[in-house]
Amino acid sequence: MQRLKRICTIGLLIFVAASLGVAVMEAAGLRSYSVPSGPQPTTQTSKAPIIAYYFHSNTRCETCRTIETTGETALRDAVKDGRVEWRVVNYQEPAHKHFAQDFELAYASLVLVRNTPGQPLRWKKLKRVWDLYEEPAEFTAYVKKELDLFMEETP
Amino acid sequence: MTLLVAIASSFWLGVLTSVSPCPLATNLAAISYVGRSAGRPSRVVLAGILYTLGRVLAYVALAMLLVTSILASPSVSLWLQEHMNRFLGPLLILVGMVLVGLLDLGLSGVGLGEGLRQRIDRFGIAGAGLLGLLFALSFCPVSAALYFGSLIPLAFSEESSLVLPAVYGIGTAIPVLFFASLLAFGAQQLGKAFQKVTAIEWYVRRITGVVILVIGLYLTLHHVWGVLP
Repeated sequence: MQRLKRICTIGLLIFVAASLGVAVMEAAGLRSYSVPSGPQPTTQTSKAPIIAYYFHSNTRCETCRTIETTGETALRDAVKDGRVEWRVVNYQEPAHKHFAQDFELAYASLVLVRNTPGQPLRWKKLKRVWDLYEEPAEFTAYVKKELDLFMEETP
Repeated sequence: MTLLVAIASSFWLGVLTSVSPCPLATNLAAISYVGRSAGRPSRVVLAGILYTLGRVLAYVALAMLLVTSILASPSVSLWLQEHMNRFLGPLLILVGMVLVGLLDLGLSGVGLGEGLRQRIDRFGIAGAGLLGLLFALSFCPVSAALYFGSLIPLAFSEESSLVLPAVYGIGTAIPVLFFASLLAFGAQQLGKAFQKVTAIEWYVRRITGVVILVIGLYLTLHHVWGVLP
């Protein structure tokens, strides 16, 4: 029994030391891991005038998934008629970290971006999605209204 | 908006943060830790108060840095979400190991005086404050959205970097304190019913240790090694 206890203790301490080592390396930028969000190269081109980005982190909580699926559903018609392209991006992936700075992301967010090559970047973060995620009808109405306003504001 | 409405909103945001599924693992660990002194209600209350103060301190300090624009909200949020959770798992494993008796910190069997034992015991209660502080800074997506997306803008508009974040911190601790008290009270009643309060407390302490150990392993495997969903 004592021997088993000793083995468990030593094993856990080694695990803790290794984990802390990895955590320190990650904090220092010497190592990184991320959950891939599919083929979303930043250089991907789009014919749609608006790109709707759903940005998420490595941790994918239930609420964030609800916002993602409700947002995608709300924009389905706009995607079908070619006004919008829907993209899901993990902003903690090394190649996508610039999005966090570009769009001032502090947490999972839905952002509309005007897709005009050569023009200054114009975008709008839909902040109320976190208030409305439990009410799909209101959420959908809000997203559609914001899309219409954004298209009018940025012709 | 009157300050009273802002205070009520901050409290509600805190409660929402705490009851959302996203910080479930850390809340379970907090409930176990705070409620583990089943035979001594005063210790549960003291640990609960310190846990709350730890959370309040973290949220107030962060809000002061953000509201005075010393730090930029997005970058702080992303850094805390990405890195704090990675350190939390290993720390909880160590706490769990101490509670289940795998780590005795070299203090057993060396003839500790009662005074020293009591001081170590008190440090265990103070650990609740440290745990509250660390748990508060380990943002998950929901807590990040509610704190950085709702509370901080509210604190900005009301120019309140002290009261509103403090009330928010209390709100995040209330559900944990409620369930910790239920756990402690239930275990104490069980102990009284069987006239074995001390024995029940021994089991509660061990079960607490196992719960915290398992949560620490889960958080480490998820946030550090990326092997669990």
